[in-house]
Amino acid sequence: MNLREQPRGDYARYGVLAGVGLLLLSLPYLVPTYFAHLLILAGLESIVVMGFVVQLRVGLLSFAIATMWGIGAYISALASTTLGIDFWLCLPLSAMGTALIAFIIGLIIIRAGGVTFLMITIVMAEIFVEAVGHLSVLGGWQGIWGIHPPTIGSFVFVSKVSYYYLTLGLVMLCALIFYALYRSPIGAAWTAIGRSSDLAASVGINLFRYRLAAYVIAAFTVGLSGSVYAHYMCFLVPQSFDIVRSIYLLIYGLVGGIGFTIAGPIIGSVTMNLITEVLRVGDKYQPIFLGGVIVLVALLFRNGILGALPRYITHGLWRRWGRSNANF
Amino acid sequence: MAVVAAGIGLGLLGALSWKLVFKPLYRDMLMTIAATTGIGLIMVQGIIVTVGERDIIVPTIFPGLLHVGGVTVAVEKIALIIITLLIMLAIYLFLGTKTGKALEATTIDEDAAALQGINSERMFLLATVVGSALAGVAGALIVPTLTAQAGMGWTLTLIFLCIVMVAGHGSIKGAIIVGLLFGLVESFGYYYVGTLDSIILFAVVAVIIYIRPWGIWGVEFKRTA
Repeated sequence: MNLREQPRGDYARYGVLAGVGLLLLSLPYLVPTYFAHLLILAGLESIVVMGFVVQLRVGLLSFAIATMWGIGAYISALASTTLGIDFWLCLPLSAMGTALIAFIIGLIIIRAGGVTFLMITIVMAEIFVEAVGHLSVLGGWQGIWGIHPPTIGSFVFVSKVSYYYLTLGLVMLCALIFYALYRSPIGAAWTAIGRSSDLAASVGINLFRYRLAAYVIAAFTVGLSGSVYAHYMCFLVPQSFDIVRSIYLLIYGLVGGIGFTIAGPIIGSVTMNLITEVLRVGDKYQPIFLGGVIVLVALLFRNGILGALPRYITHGLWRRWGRSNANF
Repeated sequence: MAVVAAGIGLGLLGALSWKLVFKPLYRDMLMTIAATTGIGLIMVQGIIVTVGERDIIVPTIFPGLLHVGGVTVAVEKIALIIITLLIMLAIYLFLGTKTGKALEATTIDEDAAALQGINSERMFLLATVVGSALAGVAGALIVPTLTAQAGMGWTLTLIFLCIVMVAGHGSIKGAIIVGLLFGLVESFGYYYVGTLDSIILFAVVAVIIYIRPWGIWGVEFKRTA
């Protein structure tokens, strides 16, 4: 007998899913081009936030998530501009390069423990910006120009619409990767570590190995996102991957709800990007409103927007997480 | 006068943000980070809206130059050093008082401090107010030697964070020493090392944190698994 509560209205759920799918596919034709641009950025950022959330779940609060994004973007940009490598090779290259760098760094810093890890990531974020800024090989403070756009045959990705579909596909891919992982024994171990690392260790879960896995997998997807970001923007400066960006990505995750490992980052990124844009009507008061919104969300939606919705709507999206047991 | 006003004003702002935002978010570290960023945005843009984005040059309270053995120094800088030393002394003396000790106990172990009858909530309020007020005083003191700019917060915040991390949480003595060292490296690093000075500086910071996560003068804490 299945003791778990059956989800209410399965058909309604599929209907909603199909509707959302259709909406996502037709969206670039329904909204102004500028909003397509926002959605592309939000999509790419949501992948990064997913990586952030998976690291957070195993007790690694990283302030270098934007740095990982930047590493992915810079690998792709350099491979494209100096070596002339095609985008479709740059994409896996930067994902694997970022994962490799994360693996090496992770071997050293994950063992150091929660707070130390946090502090080192802060310094790492600073080192990345300074290093890229000061080394002219990496473009320096002026940044890298002329990253070649992706092509399929004779089709060149230039328009927002084409990038929208590329991003949509990538977000779907990363969501699927994370969905499969969270459903697998690996995900169960991650959740166990997130709820109580001591308890998880006592039942024989190798904390270091699972943390490293989460760290490297997150870096892999973030690298994918970074590669598309580089080719989409055609132009990179180190300052766009500083610690402030990491903190904003953290806020996106919190706004969506970090208990929702996949939907949360997507909803959070899209919402915050749109809110930031809508608040531009406030002209120079926009940052004040934005700050107010962030403070209000922090005070009113402790579990994010999705956490405030009734459970029967978010059923299946929620991944249980003992928030109070987080290791910080 | 302006210095005192800045101290009191910032202290009040700190108390206000503690009461309204940080206390409800107590122990929710992530949301506190988010809320802090939000408050930062509001304050910085508030300054830009009211004062404007232009640089502000503040006239010094201590005009004049001093000639000591062939070296010319602005009186202002000497006054600055003396005032800074006085403030450091004041902090040191404050930490020796009962309240200061209670504050330090709360920093080290909040629960144990509460068991000794220390009102930890009041200590948090006190720490926020004193911290904000000191930041206000420091800002007001430094402003004549720099040009004031609303956007100068983030880089400085990072440097302060690094200083605290290297010195050790809760170690005022360490913060003073490392703060001085950082200042010296910032001034002379470029001259002796070249463009890579800041990278080397932060790399050293990373190594120190890795070896001694509690900082050089901090209280050793258990590495969480």
